[in-house]
Amino acid sequence: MTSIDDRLKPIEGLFSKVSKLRDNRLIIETDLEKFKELVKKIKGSYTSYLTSIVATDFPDKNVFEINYNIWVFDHQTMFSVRVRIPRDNPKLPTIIDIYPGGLPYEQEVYDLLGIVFEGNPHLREHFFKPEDIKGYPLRKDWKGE
Amino acid sequence: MNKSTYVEIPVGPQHPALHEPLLLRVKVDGEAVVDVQVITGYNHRGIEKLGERNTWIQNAYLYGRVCGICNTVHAQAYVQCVEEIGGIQAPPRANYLRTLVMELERIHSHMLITAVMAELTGFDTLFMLLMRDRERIMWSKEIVTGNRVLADYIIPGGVKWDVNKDKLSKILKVLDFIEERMKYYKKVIMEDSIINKRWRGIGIIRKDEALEYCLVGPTVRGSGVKTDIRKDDPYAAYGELDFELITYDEGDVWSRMMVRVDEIFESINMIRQIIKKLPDGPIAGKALPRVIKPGEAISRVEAPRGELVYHIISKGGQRPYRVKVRTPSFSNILNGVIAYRNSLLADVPVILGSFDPCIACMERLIVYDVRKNVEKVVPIRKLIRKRVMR
Amino acid sequence: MPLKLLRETISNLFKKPITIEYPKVLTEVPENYRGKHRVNYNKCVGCSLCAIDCPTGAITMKVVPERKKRYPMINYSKCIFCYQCVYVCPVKAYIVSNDYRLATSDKDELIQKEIKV
Repeated sequence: MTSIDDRLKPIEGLFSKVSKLRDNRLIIETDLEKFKELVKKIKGSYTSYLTSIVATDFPDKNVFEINYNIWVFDHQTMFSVRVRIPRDNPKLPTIIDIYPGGLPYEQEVYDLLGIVFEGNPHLREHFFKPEDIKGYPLRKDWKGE
Repeated sequence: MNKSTYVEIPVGPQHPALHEPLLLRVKVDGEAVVDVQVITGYNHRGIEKLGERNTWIQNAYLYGRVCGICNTVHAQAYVQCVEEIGGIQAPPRANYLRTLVMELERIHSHMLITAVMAELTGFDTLFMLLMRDRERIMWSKEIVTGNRVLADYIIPGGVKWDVNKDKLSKILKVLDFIEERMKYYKKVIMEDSIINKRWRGIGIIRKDEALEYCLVGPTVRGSGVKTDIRKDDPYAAYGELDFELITYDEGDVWSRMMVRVDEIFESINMIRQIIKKLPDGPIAGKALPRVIKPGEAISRVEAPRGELVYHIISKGGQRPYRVKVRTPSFSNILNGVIAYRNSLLADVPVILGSFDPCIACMERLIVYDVRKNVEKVVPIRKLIRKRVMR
Repeated sequence: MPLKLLRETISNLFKKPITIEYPKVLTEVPENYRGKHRVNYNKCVGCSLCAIDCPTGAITMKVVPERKKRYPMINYSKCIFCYQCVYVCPVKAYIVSNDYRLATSDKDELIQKEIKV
């Protein structure tokens, strides 16, 4: 397996930190301003596809943490692009113009956590939730009936 | 009598003869399909939120019940993540036994979808014969794990029960029988005229769009993309087995079904290799401690329908902090609307069936006629019996 | 070529149907089928591991005054027959069987309410 720096050469300068869970799982952390450019560069430089979008609520640090898990065929590695956004203003740009298949993933995150993806016109509530459930269930402070 | 003696049977959006509910809004112009919108959410069970309330070992039984047909692969994906965070490993014999049960499940799942597709095209005889022969695979699963459908066999650390020479020889006899029958059915699928008219040239997905729209599994292998997690990212005992990656190039419904039929033969060969090479030793190693340190893990496995991803975050303690499940049918059904272009109304059930919808299926369609500006609800059974005018 | 399955279909007309006529003829189940299980109260030590691990909370512990120990009581209407209790018991106090005929018209029959040691 090539070294981590060689694998990340095409996207140098666009991320702030890299850590690894195991040999073929890399976590790439970046800020909100450079994040869309980083995803566009990954699509342009490698053969890849978006496997999932995972969003987690951390109320003690007052952030939402969103992971974009992208599988890269050239190096047989999973790049997990990680972005943190403030909990009282959850907005970030959409990526459906880069990976059109990410539309249902963004719809699910909006429906269950309330994070708004700017530029996505298809977001609506009750895509998955039944009609009688109000609020955003996957947040840690949601009180169910 | 008290209230608990009354039994209630609803006959609502969940039809007793078919699978789970889904709604497709199809816009037509005469007979040709213009647009399809998928509406889901009838079956949302809140399993991700529920997983945060259970302990690590209780979740191994909960996540095995996300899907009935592919329950061992869900348990395997969850257990792989937990073993990585907890720092324990399963012994080699346990890995081989897990692979044995997962491959048996792949065979019965592919036989099931072939039978259902035959029924959706109106070929009921093939449906009945395939389901009769599939019972033998369910019986083999029963003698290994103790139950026909829900195995409850894989736990963190290893597997629960062992096999002996008697059981393995019975499984080998069943495999010989199934191989003979599947060769006959493959000949029928390749040469029969009804199937060739209804399946070839329908629902085409091109190779460049297949990855852009994040489709997975036999759906993209039928369009020529060479990807299989058992070869790219091996887990359990797949790194030591010898098998081929099956792809077909046409991209239509027929090639997707042929990928599944050929994978049945590869699975039969894999099980024979497993039985020959099964190592000795214990079936479970060190047990998982009840309190686990903080960490994170992502695991991917190849379910019969495609790629299944589990992402688990632990903050230390007895319970997980976040469990995320992305099933293959989620991508295939919701992103697969590109396959309905240029098709006729009677082809819509056949195209939906070729994606192998697991978490959802059809109850009825809403047909919206663009020319007459009229909307009406049509049951799927009525569409299957309609004749296709070409 | 049409009618490929014709020969098979006609020969099936002369064979016995494959349906099992339950309940006149009982289905054969293998020996290790996970059926109704119960506790051997002479071996149980009252550690409560089965009640802690049960995924649905179907096992509750009740104190028996004569023996001064707690013993488990199983609620079969909540049980999913995963056999985690059988697996985790340190003294192997569970007796297993392959009895699958648990259907009843009164759910109260399935809840165990007293312990007979």
